[in-house]
Amino acid sequence: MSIALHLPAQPAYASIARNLAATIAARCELTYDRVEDARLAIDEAFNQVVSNAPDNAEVVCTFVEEIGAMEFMVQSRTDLKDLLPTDTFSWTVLSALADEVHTTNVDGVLSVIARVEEPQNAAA
Amino acid sequence: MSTPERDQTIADHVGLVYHVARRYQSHSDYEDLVQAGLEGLIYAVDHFDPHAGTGLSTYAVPSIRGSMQHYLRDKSSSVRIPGKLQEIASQVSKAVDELTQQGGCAPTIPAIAAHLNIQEDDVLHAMEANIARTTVSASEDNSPLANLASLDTSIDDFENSQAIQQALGTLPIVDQQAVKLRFFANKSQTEIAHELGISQMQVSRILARALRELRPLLRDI
Repeated sequence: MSIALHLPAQPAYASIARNLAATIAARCELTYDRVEDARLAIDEAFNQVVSNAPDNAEVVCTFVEEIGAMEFMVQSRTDLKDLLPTDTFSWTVLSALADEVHTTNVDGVLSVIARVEEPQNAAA
Repeated sequence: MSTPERDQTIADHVGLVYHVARRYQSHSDYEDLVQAGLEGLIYAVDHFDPHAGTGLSTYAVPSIRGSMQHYLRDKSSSVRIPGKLQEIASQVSKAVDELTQQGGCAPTIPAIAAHLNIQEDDVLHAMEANIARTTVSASEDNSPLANLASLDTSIDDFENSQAIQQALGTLPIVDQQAVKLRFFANKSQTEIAHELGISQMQVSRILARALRELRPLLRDI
């Protein structure tokens, strides 16, 4: 089952996404380290998506929980014609925080999708 | 360096602090800024490598300036955390470190809550409050210097590595270390805490603060 959060595409709302991410990560039984990683990762993804969103756009954060792992998607309409660049400091940060991360830009909707999991899950 | 030698070296270079502080002379917090600068000087004296090819003055000035700028940033953006929440945050911090030592890996949030006999929500609130805090404690700034040379090499892989190095240079040295270890050496927060001799909650706080400060500097990089 997934959980969705709709927010204005403004950086000030990142804290709400962060808190929900931490709560869901805790429900997924992630360890302290990984909960903090999830919190920082969604903050980074949220800021990347928002910085490419038009005025008055909405961001949708969708979370999928499972034991030992959490996936999230941050999505908004975008002014960007291409994919988010992945040779940036911000993407390096996101890649270090999440076990899997990718971005799509389909029909003017930009998405960042990431998965944070415990090491034993990653190895399985 | 013996203690008398160290004290003498600090005394010999204290003029640098006042030199850097000159631009803040009209500032109402001038005395506190000088104090922050002195802490930067002491840090530089304690971590100066005479074989690195630069003089102590050259090494100390960025550290002094960084301490002063950091003091001003903290002052303008510090968030007041209710006393009760601070107390819980302190207990959570201790519990995380104890449970990590006992179990060999970081604990889950339910495990921390059970250990402290509090609600999981209280643990999460304490974690968020920890990140909202911006003040650097003495123990954070007194951490040992990690070997950063190899990490700088991995940053060099970036086309804009110079801009990244410059942006990192605006952070206190311990923040630079934490950022490099987490995002370029891919170390976990537990490993970074162990390596820098600080708590895991301090690492979380440092990383959140560093990313917040780097974001506007590295927006297009």
